[in-house]
Amino acid sequence: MIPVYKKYSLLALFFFLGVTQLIWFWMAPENFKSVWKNNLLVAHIIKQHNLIEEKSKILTISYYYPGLSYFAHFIIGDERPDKGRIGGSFHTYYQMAVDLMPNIDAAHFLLGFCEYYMGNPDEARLQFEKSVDLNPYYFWSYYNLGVIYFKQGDFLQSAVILNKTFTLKNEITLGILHQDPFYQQIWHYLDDPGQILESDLSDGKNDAALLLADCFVKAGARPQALQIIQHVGQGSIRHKEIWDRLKKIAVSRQSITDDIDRLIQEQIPVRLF
Amino acid sequence: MRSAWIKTAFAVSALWWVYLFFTTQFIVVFDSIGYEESGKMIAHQGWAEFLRHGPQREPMFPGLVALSMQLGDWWGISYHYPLKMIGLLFLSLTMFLSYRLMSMLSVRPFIAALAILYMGISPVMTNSSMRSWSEFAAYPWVVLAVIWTIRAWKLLDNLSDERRSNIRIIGHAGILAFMFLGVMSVKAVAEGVLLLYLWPFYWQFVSQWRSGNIIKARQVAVFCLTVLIVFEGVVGAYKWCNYHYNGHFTFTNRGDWAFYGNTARRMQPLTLEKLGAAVAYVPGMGICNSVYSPKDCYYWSPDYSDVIISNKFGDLNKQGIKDGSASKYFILNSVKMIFSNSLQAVLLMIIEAHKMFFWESSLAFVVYPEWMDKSVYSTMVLYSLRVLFAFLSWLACLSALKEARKNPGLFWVINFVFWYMAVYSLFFILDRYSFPLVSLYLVLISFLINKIVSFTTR
Repeated sequence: MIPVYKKYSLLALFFFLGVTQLIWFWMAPENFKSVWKNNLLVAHIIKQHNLIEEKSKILTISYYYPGLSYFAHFIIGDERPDKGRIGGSFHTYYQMAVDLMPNIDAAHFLLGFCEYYMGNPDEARLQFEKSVDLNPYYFWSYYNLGVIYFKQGDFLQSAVILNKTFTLKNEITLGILHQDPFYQQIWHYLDDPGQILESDLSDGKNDAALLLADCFVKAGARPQALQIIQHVGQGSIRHKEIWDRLKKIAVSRQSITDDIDRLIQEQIPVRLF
Repeated sequence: MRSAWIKTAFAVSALWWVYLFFTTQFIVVFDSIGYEESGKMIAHQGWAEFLRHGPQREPMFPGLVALSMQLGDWWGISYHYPLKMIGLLFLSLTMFLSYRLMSMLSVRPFIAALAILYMGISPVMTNSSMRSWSEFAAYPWVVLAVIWTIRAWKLLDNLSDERRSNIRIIGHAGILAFMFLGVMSVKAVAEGVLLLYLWPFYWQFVSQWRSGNIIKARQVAVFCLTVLIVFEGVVGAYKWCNYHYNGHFTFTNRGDWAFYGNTARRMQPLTLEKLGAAVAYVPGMGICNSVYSPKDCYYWSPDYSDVIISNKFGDLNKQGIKDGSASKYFILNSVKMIFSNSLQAVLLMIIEAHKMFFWESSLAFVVYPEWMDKSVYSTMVLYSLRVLFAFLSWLACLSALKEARKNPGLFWVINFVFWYMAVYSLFFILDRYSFPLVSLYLVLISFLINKIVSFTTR
């Protein structure tokens, strides 16, 4: 049995040692601190502590995962985005992803898509711009940005953005689509994702060219417009009617009629990929 | 705490907590977002604002979140750390109190130490104490309430002198009421539990009265009335505050509709498949899905009762029935449905109550280091623990029911477990609702092991 006075003096000693160690740790020079930090257990705790930050973000987002088979239907084209549905769990999921991982371009892109179909084109534009800033090699961010500017009547800005799409390599965009987990969550519902993503990208490039040609005609830059029309539009089955009419207008130096604008706006929407 | 085993159990648990404290992180999703917002409201705008935006969830946990936020601001760190510290403080208190309870039940120190050690390192206890969900705040109150009832029961048994005794009776009753208020401030279900939990006192009052022992009967009556008056007085005052600030004379923002949604689901015609799916759902949705069709299992999920509720809310809104009237409608119609087929209601309540045994390994909302996910918290280990402890808890409860007549201490433990389960079985039981019972389960398991050891070493 330890006498009471010994017990308390021991406690006081431990307390004193603890306090002095804390003061020492605070005031010690860096090289002393590094000795402490290199202690195996402490190093392990510090490493785990740093890793856990990222892991917790991923786990938080995963709790909001809504199941994205609905999105896969937009790619196949058998369903159009519905404002009510998009504005629910899908928007929440991507908003959460953007809040927690603001440096992931795909999260901004997909949030932009949701915002657009919820009727917020300005917010959508902002998200696509962030996506472009974070990843300047991804075709679909430029494409959607160009489409929104076009629909908002800012043809100059639309042309500037869409012009950049011609410098982008298809392989890079396809690589991003294949590797990014946010995109994977959507295309893994498709039967033949590789083929669909590739053909959609080719369609997207065609549509971007059509929009750009239209912008050039509107701006009076007809030689440039004709160049695109001859380069891309010639022999294109996709939107053949619009290409033909655009060519006629560019050659005859007429101005673009409302019905062509309407047709373009109807047939070239903001897309997933 | 004289036993070296107990000290070792506490020391090992404390070391494990230090490791978990620095290497894990809880995430804020679903209900914890609400707790975070409530905590912010209390911390920055005060309790009046919290009540004004009510009725809200039970007040203790939002209060603890607010306290953590203030401490976090003061120390210049995230509020997550002070909240985890508070959680661990509650857990250590629960362990200490459980040890006291086991001592009262004469459990051997080594077995008690094992139970305490398990409580300290149990996946579910550490997980629930280090996340932003309310359950951990109820743990010590539950054990305290049981310990204090045992003391009060003994006091009433041994009292003879009427004049001096009244103050002691009122004091004990007041403290018991306070402890139940502790449970109530985390789990509003405590109101129903207390009324039923006190039945041995009611029975004693009647039996003493009938046998002509008026003094004893009066002592018991004073005790019961004091407990109920103090408890209902404070609960009523809180409800009144809610009424004053937000116009709802209620303790929390749910209960009535959850009761209705679950009852409406249960009281629909029962087929053999549905009954089978209900039983298979007890260990978890995953087990149910592996035996029955997803449609049958979905029927017993909280999502399905939520659909019933939202449809009913829509109907009532169309009829202009809102707030207080809707609440009355939900409760009255639920009771009517239950009485229309009591046998089915009771059968499904019994099945539902069994979910309370599957408490272990329900880990969520905390991120652990990779090595833990792959080893000690791997699916295999967690499922094994879940099944093992469900079986042990069930066995310990059965054994306690058998032994309860001879041992008043044990009787009060099992009495609490029983009524807590019974009241909750009116609703849909989520895993986490069983967490406040974990300490009592471990006490019962240690008592059972103690009995087996005593029997074999006799």
